[in-house]
Amino acid sequence: MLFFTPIFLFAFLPIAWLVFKGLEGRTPNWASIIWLLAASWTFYAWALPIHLLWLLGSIAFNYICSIGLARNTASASGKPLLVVGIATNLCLLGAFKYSGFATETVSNLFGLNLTPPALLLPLAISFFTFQQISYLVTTYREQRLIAKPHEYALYVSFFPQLIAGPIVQPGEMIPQLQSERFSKVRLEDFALGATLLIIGLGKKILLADNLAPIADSAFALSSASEGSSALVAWTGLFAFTFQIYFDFSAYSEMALGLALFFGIRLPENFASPYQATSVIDFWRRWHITLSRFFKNYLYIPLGGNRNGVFRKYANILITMTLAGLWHGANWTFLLWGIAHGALLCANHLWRKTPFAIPSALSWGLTFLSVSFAWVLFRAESFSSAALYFQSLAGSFGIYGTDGSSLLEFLRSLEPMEAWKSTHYAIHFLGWYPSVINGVHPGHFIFSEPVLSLMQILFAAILVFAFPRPVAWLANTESGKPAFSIKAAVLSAAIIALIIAQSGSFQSTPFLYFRF
Amino acid sequence: MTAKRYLITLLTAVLAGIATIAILFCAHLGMPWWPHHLIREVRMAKHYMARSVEGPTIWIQGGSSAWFGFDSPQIKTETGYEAVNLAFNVNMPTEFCFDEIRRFAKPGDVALLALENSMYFRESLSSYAADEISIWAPDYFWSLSLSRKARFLKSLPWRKALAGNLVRLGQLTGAYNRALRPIDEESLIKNLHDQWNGSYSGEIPVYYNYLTLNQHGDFVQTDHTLWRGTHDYNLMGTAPVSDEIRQDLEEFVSWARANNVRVLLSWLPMARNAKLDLENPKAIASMDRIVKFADSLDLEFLGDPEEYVMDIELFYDTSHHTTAAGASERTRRLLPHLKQALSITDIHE
Repeated sequence: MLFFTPIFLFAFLPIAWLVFKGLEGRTPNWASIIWLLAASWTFYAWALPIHLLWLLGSIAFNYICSIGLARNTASASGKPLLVVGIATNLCLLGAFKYSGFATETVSNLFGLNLTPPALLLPLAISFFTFQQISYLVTTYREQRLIAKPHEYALYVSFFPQLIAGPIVQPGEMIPQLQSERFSKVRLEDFALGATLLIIGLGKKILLADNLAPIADSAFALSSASEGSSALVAWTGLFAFTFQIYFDFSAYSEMALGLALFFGIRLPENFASPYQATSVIDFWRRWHITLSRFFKNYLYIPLGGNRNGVFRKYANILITMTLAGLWHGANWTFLLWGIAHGALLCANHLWRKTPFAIPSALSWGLTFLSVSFAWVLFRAESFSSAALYFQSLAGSFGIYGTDGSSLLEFLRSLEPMEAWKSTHYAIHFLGWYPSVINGVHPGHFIFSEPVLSLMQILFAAILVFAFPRPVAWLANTESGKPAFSIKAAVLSAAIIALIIAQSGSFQSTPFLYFRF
Repeated sequence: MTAKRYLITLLTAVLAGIATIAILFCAHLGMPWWPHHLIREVRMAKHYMARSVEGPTIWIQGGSSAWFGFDSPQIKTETGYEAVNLAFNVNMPTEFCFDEIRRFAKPGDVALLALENSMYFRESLSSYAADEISIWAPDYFWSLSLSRKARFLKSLPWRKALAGNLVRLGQLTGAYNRALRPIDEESLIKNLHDQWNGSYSGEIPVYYNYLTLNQHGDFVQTDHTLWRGTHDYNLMGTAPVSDEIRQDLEEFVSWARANNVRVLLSWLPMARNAKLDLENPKAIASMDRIVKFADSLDLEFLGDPEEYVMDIELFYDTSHHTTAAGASERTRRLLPHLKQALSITDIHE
């Protein structure tokens, strides 16, 4: 079930919330938790009920492990149990997610004819596995049973964050479930949650899904026709750069908003990452909860920066390579992780030099570096990525692959099919200025390249010039929700635009669902 | 601002936004402008013909394969019934198609439904149909049930409504009257008669134009690029007969029976080509689903699908449009079944 589908918005969510609200004050906390668990498991099982077996099995195994850890941490058997717990989680994740990739790689390397196992990847396994690992580690460190079974099950399964994060630490959620305040819905939380949900919906439906076709066609054209013009490649690259941000941050904000409906505050996952002025800064702002997981549970256990410069950079590279691979079983993701690892190392090294870069330049370099790396993330294969980089460099032409000049290119523009009726209306009403140097203004304005660039420009203004929603909706001093007429009007405008666009809206799943 | 006040403001703003959208939608309804003139004028011409006929009439309805695929004068000569071809586009909702017959049919008439195969299986309304109907048949939109209104609105691309509003704005500024004003009905009828009499002096567009209609509403021009592609005529799918056609045809049949109008079904003309294989199990199953559906309403198909597979030379421009010779041949194959059906239950005798 997707957050933006009618069944979720108009049936699942209202029912889940109304029953939760109905339980408020009449029943103990555990009843509200059980209800949210039932709702979350329904949400999870909606597409394919068989997935639920894996989730329930994983929850049961990890909870039993945590009981063992809580009992044995004082003795020597604690650490082996923790290792067994983590290893089992990682083995399952590896078997489901990477066995096909590993089989294919071994087959290619040794010329074998191995058949990849046909395993159905349980939805959100990457997310709930990591969340449970963090619970096991926390239990081991705190030497006590942190949650009761139903609290733990909800911590893992809570539907707003189950499918694509944020990856919540036990301390961020379980105390809320155990608090007296839990199950008492506050109007402030509801209002803030509704606004975050609406902003998330807008980012997904109005921005990400409208940028997706631009990126998709550019990457498809580049690989299908063996290279595209630089104009198409750059447009596609920036479209994807903004698409993935709007898509994923939209999901995270919707998750935050939905959780607030039930009085639960989840950690923020994005903090205006494209405003970062260095790659180090970028990873403090992008997918914050995943970065934190890798830092706490991989980078630091590997030694972090404690064992000399060489080990520090090796640890960064290892961590980022595995973070890349976490996103998907493909060499392109691995390379994307390595690229970011290398960028982080370069960034750390640069900081040791006495040179300072003006902040505008460092922002530009960071944004371009991150954007270039997205090519590896988005391309289907190494060769496609290489071809795309060549396209970006203008190897196949600047405006078109036929070597046409700018004027020839402008004269060849045609209005997009979807905009033809609008174009014709203006044209036949005689509202266009005259043709300029053989270029029809309507053909120019409503052409695919110009409309794509306008969309990207609009997205860029939103990303660079506006604060992140959570900060915008909070009082800068107290941190409490700050409701304003501007927020109400913006939310209403988003709803109106979504309704207006519903006729031509083609819903696409969130990009991060595949991870 | 308190949370309560904020939520009230938000709700008010949402309602204002929805009201704005509703106003813009209503403003674009019934705002005829090019390129919508073509279908609008064809419909006006067909309605004029429908109003003009007297006596027992066969009302032909379907997609464009019906518009292009009948020789109505031959039907009139062979059956003694008047024949009016009301069909124009496959994308039109079936309820709309049947409404067109309901407007004119009277007791003793026959509704000959030559629906295209896709019309039995489709689940959604095309954005083309939603756009066209918004422009030249807004009354149809208002006549829809709430759920169908919602479906209609979902099928309407917002850019089309935007274009309609721009044209409405042009009406206010006067630009519309200078450039986009459509032909009025009186002039249309005069041009139509001039064309039939051979005295029309203007240029006759080749395609989809009221000036290409004969006096029965059939399409008569044939000088267009020939179609020589392949098509399976939507028989290779596995979709069940849709709920929409079930409901629409049930209602229409019930209306027809209450009004003593006979309903007959015809298969569409199909070009012999590499993709068309009526022996294929999927095609057999598709035809079987259609026939069973017709049987469930006690409706009769005139002949078998195989009888309407014709040489590809009898088709032009698309897989579903026959040439004049193709229309004549299809009608010739249909007539024995039609005459037999009418003589068996001839309500005039």
